Amino acid sequence: MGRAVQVGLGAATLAILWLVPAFGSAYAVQLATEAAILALYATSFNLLLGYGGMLSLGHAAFYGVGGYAVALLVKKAGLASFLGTTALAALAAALAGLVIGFFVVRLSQVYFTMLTLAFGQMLYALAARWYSLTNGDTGIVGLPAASIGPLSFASPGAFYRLTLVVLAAGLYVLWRVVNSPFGLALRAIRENPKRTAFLGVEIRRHQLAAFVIAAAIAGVAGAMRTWYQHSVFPTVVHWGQSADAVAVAILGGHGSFLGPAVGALVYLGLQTYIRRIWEYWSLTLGLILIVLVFFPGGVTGGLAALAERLAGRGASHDRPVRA
Amino acid sequence: MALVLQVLNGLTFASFLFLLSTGLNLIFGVMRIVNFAHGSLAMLGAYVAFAAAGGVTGRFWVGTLAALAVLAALGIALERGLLRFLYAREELYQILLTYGLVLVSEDAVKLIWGRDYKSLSFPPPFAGPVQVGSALFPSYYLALMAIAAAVAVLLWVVLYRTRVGAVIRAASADREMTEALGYSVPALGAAVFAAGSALAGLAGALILPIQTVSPGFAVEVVIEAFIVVVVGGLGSIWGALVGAVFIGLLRSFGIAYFPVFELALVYLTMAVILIVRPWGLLGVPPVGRN
Repeated sequence: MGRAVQVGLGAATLAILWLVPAFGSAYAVQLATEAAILALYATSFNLLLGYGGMLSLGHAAFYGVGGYAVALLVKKAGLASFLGTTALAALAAALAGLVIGFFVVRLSQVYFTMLTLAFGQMLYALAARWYSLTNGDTGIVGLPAASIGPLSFASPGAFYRLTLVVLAAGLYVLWRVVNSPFGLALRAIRENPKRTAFLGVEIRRHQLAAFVIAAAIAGVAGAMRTWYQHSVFPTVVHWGQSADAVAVAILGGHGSFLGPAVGALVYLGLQTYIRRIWEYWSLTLGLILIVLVFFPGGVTGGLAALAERLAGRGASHDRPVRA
Repeated sequence: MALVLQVLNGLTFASFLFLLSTGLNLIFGVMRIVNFAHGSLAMLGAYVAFAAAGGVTGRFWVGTLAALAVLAALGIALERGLLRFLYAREELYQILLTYGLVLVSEDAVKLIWGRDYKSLSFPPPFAGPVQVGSALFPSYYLALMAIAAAVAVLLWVVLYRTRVGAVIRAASADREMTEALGYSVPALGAAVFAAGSALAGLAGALILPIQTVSPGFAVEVVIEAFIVVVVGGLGSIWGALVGAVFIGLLRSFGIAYFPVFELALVYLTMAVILIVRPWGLLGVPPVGRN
């Protein structure tokens, strides 16, 4: 696709999404807000998995740090500004990413995955048990509506549009990152760490930078979640939330930039639909994941393969990331 | 006295952790499968044991044997039916598939047995307590320790004193070479997976008199099992034992002295060990990996 076509398609999608509150039901707006937050969270995760080849099972740690940072800044430090607290939440998550990343990028494969899980659960344990700071399971509740100066985002439609702007900004940052020389180096490391190291690329430093960027964006997603729910609970840091990032990315296709965003829509849509039929959503999701293991590429990969087949070029889409 | 009871409590928990994680370790050591569904196998073991014992403690041991048998069969079905198709692919897909199984099992248990907590009381002849110094200690806890010790010895004998054990160790070191010598590595893999699954089922069944089991059990214990094997050394036969005792004691003393940060303490210890010795206390540094 040419650049003009991409920009045009992006703008058209944004315009359609912008109109959801005008035509959709209150429930549709709610779902769209949740999908936008989940899309940002899962896309930040995919910088690690899809581009860096790093399967983190502790990404919720940064989602949670961002979520708790906003709640604590509002409740304990008395800050009220949406922009200020969200920026600080990103900073806090980036710092957490720097500290945790410093340790985890030194390990590879299953050790990396396990250590991210351990750090994630450590933060979960802190959120759940450190009552004097986090109120434990009771959570931090009763946050005011988000506002920027005189602008209030108290109505669901207004907050949804704010979320959409934050999502677009986050995706733009990530898009610039993956298409920079840094992003190319990251992909090279994923494909062949040894060869990339011989080329003079500092592997650990690149991986750490990716980890910090992914953490910061996940922190912003977590902040949006807290603003949306007016509260935060330890579940946001739980490893199930980390696993959701994996499920969403795989569902949409971790091989493409927009895969996780598409995955977020599919994930929430499926969840809503399935729950109407029966209560066993996790069983359904589990079966879907198992099937996707055997037909990788996710929704976007499947569509791309279908398009190519229609165009007369049979090709399989397993690994490569197309930005 | 309090110290002795603390140690005994730690060792009881360590016995469960050992039974739970040794199968995970065995499967990883021999087949390089990262089985995230190991906790689900333990959970299924607990539910099968509960169903087979029929809530009557007199048949507790029948339930335990049923858990062993059913989980061994399930292990073979999983390995032959799903996992073997992923050996040539990235680790990511194994983790993903087994994570899918975790999700499926959690709801399957809800479908079959409902959402409420299940437990069994202490089985005969370990229904009463024993005197430890001036305090009373459940005799079942001691039985659990004895069973864990027996399993450890049995594993050692099978792996280091029998021909089958030698072939298993050979296969874990070099699949192709073992195959070339005429042994059926796929059959061996299925057998190892069955044994590992049965051990998970055993752990699940034996925890029933100590702890209630609910559909959330799978996720809770799989993390504990991973902590144990990662601390002890992934793939090391003795690693699970050392890791289990280490984590069991750490938690027992953590609960007594740092109740708020006990869990964080466990994770922090795991992180520190992984940084100092990424391959665990008794593990072997991986060769040829970066």
